[in-house]
Amino acid sequence: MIRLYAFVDGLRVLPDGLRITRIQGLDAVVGDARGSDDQVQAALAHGRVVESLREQADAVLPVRLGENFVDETVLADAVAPRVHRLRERLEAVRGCVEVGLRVVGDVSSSAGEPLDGVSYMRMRLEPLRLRNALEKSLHAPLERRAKAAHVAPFGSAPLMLEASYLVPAGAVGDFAGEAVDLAAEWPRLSVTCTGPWAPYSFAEVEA
Amino acid sequence: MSDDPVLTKLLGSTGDLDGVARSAGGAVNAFPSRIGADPESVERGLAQLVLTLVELLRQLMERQALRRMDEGVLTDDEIERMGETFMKLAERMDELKTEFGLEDEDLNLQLGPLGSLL
Repeated sequence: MIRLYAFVDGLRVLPDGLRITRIQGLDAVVGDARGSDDQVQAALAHGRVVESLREQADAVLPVRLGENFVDETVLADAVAPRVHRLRERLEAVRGCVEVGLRVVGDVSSSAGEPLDGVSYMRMRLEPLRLRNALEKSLHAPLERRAKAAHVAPFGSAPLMLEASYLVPAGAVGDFAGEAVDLAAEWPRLSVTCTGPWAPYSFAEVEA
Repeated sequence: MSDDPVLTKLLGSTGDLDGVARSAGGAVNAFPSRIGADPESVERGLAQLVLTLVELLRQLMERQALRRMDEGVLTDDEIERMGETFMKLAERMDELKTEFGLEDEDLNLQLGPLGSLL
């Protein structure tokens, strides 16, 4: 059983224990799949491999955890119909990394428990309005600076905004600086900018 | 440079970094959980499944109503009636969660590209 970690281009150093299998000219990084009951440790190990590939390749398309195949032939059969789209994605992320943005805050109303229907609805609307404002004044300027962006749909407070940006590797510092500058406009909220990551959010290829 | 893998990835931050870290704690629970099917816990497992679905529908309806309220297409009476209904539903959900020993996180669903339910 083998595990697929990523598709790469221009890989300079292959991490220990991994090998390249070429599928119609596309380099897939695989390793032997070792069973692990600890999913968190397995996810961390997978992430470390992908991060080392990001540091050593011109372009990397990470594959989600758990893509195991019986052998290279089965892997090639599964990947072959998508090679063209995978190459396009690989080209789209070339030279870029992912930067993550996370905005958290207690937006609960100071009015306390709602006493009637109207006050309940107003209380529930407050975070949605804040989210819309954040999308306009924080996310939108960053999206304009990025090559691509992905923003997660709003779930519930306190996580007010979670977004990923595809940024040229050489521009990460400036991008993070702008994120922090923009965040200063929101003193009630906590904002973190993390990276550089492999472009997980921009690696999706439709089946 | 720090050896902490989290701090080495921190490009910048404002506010309460610990609060952000706490909000990310759910990432370790991102793997799908299973409904307990053994005789002792089957009732709680089924309640968890049913309440999760009810919570999903409740949130969808409430979000739609809030959107319409924000667009200004609801009258004050409609807002009051809807708000009272959603408030009572939320209270009843809390009672049922307590009855079956469930926490908010037990009713969470990973909805793929739509994010998480709670």
